[in-house]
Amino acid sequence: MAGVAMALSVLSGCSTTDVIPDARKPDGLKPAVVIPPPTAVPNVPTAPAMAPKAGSSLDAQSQKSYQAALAAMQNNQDANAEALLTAVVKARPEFVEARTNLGIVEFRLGRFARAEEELKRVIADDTNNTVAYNYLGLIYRTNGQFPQSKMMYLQALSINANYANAQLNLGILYDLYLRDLPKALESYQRYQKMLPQEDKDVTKWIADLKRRIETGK
Amino acid sequence: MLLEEQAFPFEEKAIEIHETNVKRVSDGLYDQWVRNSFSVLTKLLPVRYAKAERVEMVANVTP
Repeated sequence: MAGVAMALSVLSGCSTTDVIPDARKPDGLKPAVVIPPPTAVPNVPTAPAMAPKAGSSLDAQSQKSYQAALAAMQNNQDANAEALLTAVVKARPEFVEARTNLGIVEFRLGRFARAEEELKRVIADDTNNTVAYNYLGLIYRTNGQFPQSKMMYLQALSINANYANAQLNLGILYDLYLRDLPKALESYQRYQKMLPQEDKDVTKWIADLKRRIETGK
Repeated sequence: MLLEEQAFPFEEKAIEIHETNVKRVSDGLYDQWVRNSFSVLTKLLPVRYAKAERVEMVANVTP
């Protein structure tokens, strides 16, 4: 095979970030992002490792830049991460994980249009990239494009039926934005079943939803 | 009567008004005012409205 397979992408512990419902800010402003305490939802099943892409391994400089970009993302130095990832992507446009992270960083910087553009390109090349679908779902929700948001979450779940974050986000979409309470309830219940132990916040949401469905409010 | 108790009916009224406003999303309306109402309701009725989506960072990907 002409192209040597790029060293495997291993998602060895994605960190999970909560985004408050009204995080939307105009492009160019940073959205409000809340990093939950690490014990909030332990061991939540997340997206599967993305499929390795064809291509040669990264050169030393790109590899160094990529690792620095990931560290910058972890430390919320998003502008720095963006610069590093842009350089990596320019050098290796087929490196889909770097492009996914670039889309994520654009989102975190409040540049939703750019994030959407980047992540749409990612899924065009990597149709099983559930992380990108999940982010696109959030971007569309943030933009008020609720049917598109639903499609993205459902697509992520069709690839990985146990993708807890997408299941939760779909529930929130049904609950707050599509106002389909029975479907919201179903989504939250499925989400709970995906977890090794219940999410206590979601348990409260479920109780509230059941009450509202029963009383018709 | 405590000040908190006196404020209660006003808080109830505020919740009612903001909830009426956020229900307009069903009609496809998601403007600045609807967003603001969502934001206020996260504080007034957190169990119902302070629901944060979860996303990953795709960190620790080894190229």
